[in-house]
Amino acid sequence: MYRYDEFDRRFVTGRVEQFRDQVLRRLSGELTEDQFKPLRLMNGVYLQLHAYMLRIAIPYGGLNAARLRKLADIAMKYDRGFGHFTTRQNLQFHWIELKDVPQILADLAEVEMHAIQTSGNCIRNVSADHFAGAAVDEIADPRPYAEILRQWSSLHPEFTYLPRKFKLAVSGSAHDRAAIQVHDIGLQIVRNDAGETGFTVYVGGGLGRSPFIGKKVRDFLPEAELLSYCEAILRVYNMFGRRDNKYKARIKILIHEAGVDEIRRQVEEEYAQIRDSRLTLPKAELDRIAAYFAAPEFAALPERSQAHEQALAGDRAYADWVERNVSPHRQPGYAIATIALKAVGEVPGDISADQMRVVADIAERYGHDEVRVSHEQNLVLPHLRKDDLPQVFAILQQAELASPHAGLITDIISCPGLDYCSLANARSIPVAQRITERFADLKRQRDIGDLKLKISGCINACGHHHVGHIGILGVDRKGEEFYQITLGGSGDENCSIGGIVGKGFSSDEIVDAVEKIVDTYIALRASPSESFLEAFRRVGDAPFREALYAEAA
Amino acid sequence: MKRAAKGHALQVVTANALRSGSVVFRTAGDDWSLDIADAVVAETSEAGEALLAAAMRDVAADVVVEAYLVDVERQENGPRPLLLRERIRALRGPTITENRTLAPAATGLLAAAC
Repeated sequence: MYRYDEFDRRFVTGRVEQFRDQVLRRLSGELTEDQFKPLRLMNGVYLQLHAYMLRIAIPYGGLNAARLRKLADIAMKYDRGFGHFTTRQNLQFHWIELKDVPQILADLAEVEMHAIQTSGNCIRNVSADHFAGAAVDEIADPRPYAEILRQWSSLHPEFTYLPRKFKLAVSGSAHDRAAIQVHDIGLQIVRNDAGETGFTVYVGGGLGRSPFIGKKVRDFLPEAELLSYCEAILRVYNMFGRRDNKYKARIKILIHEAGVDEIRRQVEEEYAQIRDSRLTLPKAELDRIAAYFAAPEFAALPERSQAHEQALAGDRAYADWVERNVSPHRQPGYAIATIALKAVGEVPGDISADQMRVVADIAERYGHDEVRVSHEQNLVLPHLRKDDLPQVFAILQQAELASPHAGLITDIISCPGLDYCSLANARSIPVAQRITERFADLKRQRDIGDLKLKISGCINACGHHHVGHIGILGVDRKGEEFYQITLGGSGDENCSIGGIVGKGFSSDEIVDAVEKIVDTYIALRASPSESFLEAFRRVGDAPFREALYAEAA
Repeated sequence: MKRAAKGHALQVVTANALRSGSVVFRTAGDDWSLDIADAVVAETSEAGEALLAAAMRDVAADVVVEAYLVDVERQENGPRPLLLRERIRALRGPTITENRTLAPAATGLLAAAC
């Protein structure tokens, strides 16, 4: 994990003191709300439906025990004993009081955390594959590059007032677990024929009211050129991105309107000007940052573990959990475990302070002190010995964190929706909960197989519904909550935007509609191994449309 | 959502408290309450505007932020907002149970393992 140097520390503690003074001046009336609002947003403080919300940056989803414990302490002391993980791998507290924010930020700084650039028209938290450094299919660890991008983009003077927010994501594996093609810049680590490391670069992806898949602008960008090229992209965007209409201000609209060829030409022209400048990454610096993310000292273990295999044979619950929540690790004898934060009836992405502490304890005792947040609102223990898995499972079970449904229909991404968010048009969480209850039977879920269901409570699409195999969008129809369904979306390397299947459903109808879609898939799939998405891509939406609307027609 | 009969809904003024962010409602005593049942109800649009103007003085005085009028109907236990968004705000919390149930600590097992 990256550790702050003197510069980082000074910068973060300086910002805390600056904001402490700003909050005091706001509370005393010296600053008006209009003057203060941009300042609080720059520090991750929103005013939501019921209270202030504080969004804390978790760069590329990296946590350790100390950070988790600090978040647990803050949850207990200043919030209501829980936190909410987001699709940007961040954490939000929903019940913060403004007067407490400066002290919370000071507490966070003790564990090298902050809330800078978690809001506003700037470069946001850089996200990355949550299996980084552990995945078997990894070409190179994306975290050092994400960290370099974080350092470059933090308070970048030229890019502090962009036309709109800007999001970057890095994937180190060919299988994209970081949804890079729906980011403003998506970076896919690749190796060229000469064995050199570089990036395939996608630009202009995004969700929201106008979803677009990123356009490939470079097949191979040498790694040393990472910052020069990103700076060139940002410069073109900063110069030509629209500022007249916030709904058309993202780079995806610029590319859509000007055409990718024209934007690529402009970027390449800018890049040619700056490519051999101070932004070229020296190898020594790359190596210095990469050293922070060096693999832990793994033990030399056999691939097979007797303890693990005995538990598999003797404990059905363990076997179910392993099947869905444990992934292969690149190091023999090790495994990756996903902690799904969506047990039946729970709030997707929410975790109590006690649960945070349990995960921290496990990470410290068994997991090389590493925890990741996934953009799917789960936690990941990336480095566990297979020998320890049965014990880890038992502890997670006691903490109600061993729900064995990663990647199944109930592993739902859901935004906070109208229960918390001032932008939302409809509630998301109750719909997610009712779906988990309807599909609670694990045998049935496993029979359905891989299925990504994602729910957003408004068109801003924080719940990534456009890239859900089944997406649900909450809308307001004459004061009533309605839910539109999209089918066939996908956020991985075969990225696609889901298409609206037909007219929306009321809150009472939506769960039945989802069930009808699932039943239709079960009836038409070529074999149990044909996933929902594969089947959908084979047959299109007609059978689903017919199942949903035939009776009404 | 249907508005009140004859084109004009009853209205209350809501805002968020500056320090805490809590949802508050303007009371008859020119104060603020966390409970919508305490809210003063304006029966005409003129009365609504006057209520909001008074509330804006507390915005200027940095007591509350983002004050605005909310359409309501009268019910036995007090005013009920017509819009779901405002009904949820008046609940003082989400419509779901928050994950505050502290999980049984697993520290026993962990301690045994260490």
